[in-house]
Amino acid sequence: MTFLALPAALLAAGLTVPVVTALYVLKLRRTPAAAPSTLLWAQAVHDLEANTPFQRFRNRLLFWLQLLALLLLLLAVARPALEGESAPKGRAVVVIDRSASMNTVDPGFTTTRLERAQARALELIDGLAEASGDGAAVLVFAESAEFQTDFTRDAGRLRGAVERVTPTDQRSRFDAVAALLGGMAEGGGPPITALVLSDGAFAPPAMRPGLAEVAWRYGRIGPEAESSGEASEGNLGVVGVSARRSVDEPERVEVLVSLVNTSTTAVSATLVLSIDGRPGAVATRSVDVPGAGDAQDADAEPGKASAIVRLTLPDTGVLRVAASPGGDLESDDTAWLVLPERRSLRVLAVGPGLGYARAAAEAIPGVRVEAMSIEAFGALGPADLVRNRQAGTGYDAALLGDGAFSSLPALPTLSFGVEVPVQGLRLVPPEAKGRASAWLDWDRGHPVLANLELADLTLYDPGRWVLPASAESLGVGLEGPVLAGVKDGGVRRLALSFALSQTDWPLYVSFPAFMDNALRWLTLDPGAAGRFVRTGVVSRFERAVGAGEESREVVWQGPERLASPPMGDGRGDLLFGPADRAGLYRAEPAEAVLPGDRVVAVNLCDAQESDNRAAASLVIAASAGTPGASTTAEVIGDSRRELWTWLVAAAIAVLCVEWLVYGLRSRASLA
Amino acid sequence: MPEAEPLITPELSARLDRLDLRSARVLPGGMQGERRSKKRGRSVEFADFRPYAVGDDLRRIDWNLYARLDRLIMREFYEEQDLAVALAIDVSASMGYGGPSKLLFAQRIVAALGHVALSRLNRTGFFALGDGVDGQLAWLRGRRPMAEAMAVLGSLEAEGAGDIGRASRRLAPLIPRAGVVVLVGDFYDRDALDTALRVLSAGRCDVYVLQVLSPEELEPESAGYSGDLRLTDVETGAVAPVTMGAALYKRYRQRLASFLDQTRETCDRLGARHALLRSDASVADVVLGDLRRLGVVG
Repeated sequence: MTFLALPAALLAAGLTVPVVTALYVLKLRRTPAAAPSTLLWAQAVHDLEANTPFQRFRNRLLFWLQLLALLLLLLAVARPALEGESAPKGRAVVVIDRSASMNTVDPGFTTTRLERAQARALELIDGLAEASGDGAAVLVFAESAEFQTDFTRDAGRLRGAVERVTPTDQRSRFDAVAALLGGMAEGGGPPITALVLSDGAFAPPAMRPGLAEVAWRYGRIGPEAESSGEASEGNLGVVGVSARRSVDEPERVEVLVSLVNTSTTAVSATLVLSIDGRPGAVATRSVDVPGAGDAQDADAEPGKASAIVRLTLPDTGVLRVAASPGGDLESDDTAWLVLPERRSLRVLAVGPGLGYARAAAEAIPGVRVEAMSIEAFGALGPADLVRNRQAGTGYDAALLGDGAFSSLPALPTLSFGVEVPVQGLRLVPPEAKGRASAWLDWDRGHPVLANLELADLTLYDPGRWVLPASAESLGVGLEGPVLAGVKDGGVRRLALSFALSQTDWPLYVSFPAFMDNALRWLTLDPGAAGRFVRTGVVSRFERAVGAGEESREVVWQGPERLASPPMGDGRGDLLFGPADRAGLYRAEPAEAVLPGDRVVAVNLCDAQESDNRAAASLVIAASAGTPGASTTAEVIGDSRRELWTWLVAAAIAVLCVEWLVYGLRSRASLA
Repeated sequence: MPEAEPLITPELSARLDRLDLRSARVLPGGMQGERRSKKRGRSVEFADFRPYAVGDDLRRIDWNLYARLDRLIMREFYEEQDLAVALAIDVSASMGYGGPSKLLFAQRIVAALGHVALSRLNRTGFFALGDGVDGQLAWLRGRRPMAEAMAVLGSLEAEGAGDIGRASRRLAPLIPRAGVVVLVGDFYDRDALDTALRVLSAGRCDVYVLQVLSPEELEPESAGYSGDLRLTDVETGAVAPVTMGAALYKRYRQRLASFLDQTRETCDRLGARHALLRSDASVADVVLGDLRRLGVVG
């Protein structure tokens, strides 16, 4: 045991103990006065004893109780502490995990893991600030890592930084911590000791230079089943949610929900789906989620299950999916999804030779095809061609028939046997005419060619593609690549090396299926599967045209307040996030944002984070030069425990006893 | 008290000449005086008629009645006798307290009563009561010894621990016959007062208790006491540590009222008459007012 403020306690003892003793030994100095009789002053006779400068010390219980209370308080002033974790040399970094899994309340505790981590950090800081040679700093991490202080020996600043740490629903990326500290260590300077207070519920960091120079210490924050006798109930979380409208029946929506279960036993989960916050469920579904297996093995894979729920929702809306029982982490019990609205496509058919393609496209529900000559197409500018849904102008994709195209607008295209002006992409004509060819191979896993059978098709004199690095071959014929998938500056293009007149493909059922797949892939909308944003991630939203306030800040009100200053891109587009907490965020003013984006759903949806089982050890990659080598962080020992609070409590208890004794004696004397 | 200042002023003396001491009972006198006695005598105050008997003084036969009734009827008159008056002052040390001191006030009161008693030819004795009868001047009669009496009174000093009970035991045998006893003092010792009254009442004396307290005793706030004091009893030397304050003053006044009530009750029970006098009061107002109402003078 050490005393952190012994001189102060000795000084206080020197001042107060004599005073208390004197109160019992010294007596009042009184002014002498004569009186004809003291008879009538008899009420004050009990003061008689106090009228000499000193009196014989009398062994009084009250005196000893008061002295005991005083000594306890003096001992508290001396700040006795039980020795614990020794302070590291060099620079110390207290790393606090504030990811979603740290919101878990473990059995036997009433506070979250983050609150326990903060308390542990405060205990550590008392020793670090005084003993660390080059000071200490506080670093918090979740999706990103951020220093809260520079290196300082000011314990007050460090404590303030720790107390200001707020919880998040973000996933934890320890990579960010490793990058920061590894970079610092690599840059030289005093050695760094990282004291990581976390549940370890994250993937090990990737190897990088400098990590080996950091002394890693791990303070595990998790359940203590051995000591509390209570076992964790495990966690059931929603780790994925998406929705998709039926092509044939757009009012039909399929919702895919993925669940994980970290409990050792299988769980029969109940999914409750509701829409737009309206009371009552639009659907309820039970899902059996298998258990994680061995409870003692934190590396055992959690049980996983998925469910598809089919709903009839004619309009857009915000879908809420709640899973129960949620387990000991609430952040992933609920997920929200902004459902996609029904969408129609405007497709432009440019040039001749597109009869079959037009017919197949027009057969797709919601697709409208307009024909245009190559000359007219070339005369239109990008503003007329690129789809602007607010203005109701432009097209979603273009079918390119026979002809020459010197340039293409930023419009997805599906071309049939024509050169596409994409750098590096070249159509090589067949070396010999009059030869029949066929599809030799095609990417069956690609969305464009999924579930298609092309082996029976015949191709007449097809060309072959020479592909740049930005393109991929989706199908190969006898001569070479016959179908190229190109990403041209963010615009998708599909290029066939043959015209429809050079194949019998339109006679097969696979052609309209190909057209459907192709148009869907070309016009792929990320919102088509339902939109949500992950916590901690920044997203970009388009500002509504005509709002007239491109410079005005938009505020997103939800579990927290997020401000989106306009970007300097001339259009006033908005950046949303990163959001700390999951939930629904509504834009203010709403008219500044497109109607479909006025409500943003933010979810955790991370299987790694939902697996909130605390890791027994923290594995750190050792060095970049030795792949696979890793080391395990040392465990942080018990921090120094100060005892002054207990001493003050004991002093108060003694004073209460003293008061009780005094009260009883006073009552007895009055009686 | 300045020596040149007389105990009673000439103006008060002139007013006192019109007064006489009274007793509740008609007490037998020794010599002819100015007080009516039960005896028939030679005064001018008619008492009764009675038939003539051989040997009666023929000068008191009512000749008018003889003319009407043809019988000799004697006219009788009350005889005027003197009264034994004992004026006793408590001269214990506590009487020296106050401004003016209680003793000086008591001397002036006794001087005034002595003036009245001597002027009316009563047998008057002056007694100083301390632990016993510390001094006496008895029994005087008429105005001639008045100057001597005033001088003796003026020479009294408050000292020592008094015991009014023991002093009264000594005083009682000195009073030749039933008369009037006036006790002047502060009478803090109620047991001693009880003893004194029993002794003096047993001699069929009319006892008047004039209790003198100073303003400082009646109103301790005016005494200038403050803070923590170590009070010493001037007679017994007993020490009382007190811390002056409103609460203590209140409790003191309650005890004082209780003490005075008990003193008054003691006097009533033993047939004495009690009056509380402030030492800063006017002697003329007290004698002509309070003592007249009490029946000491009239």
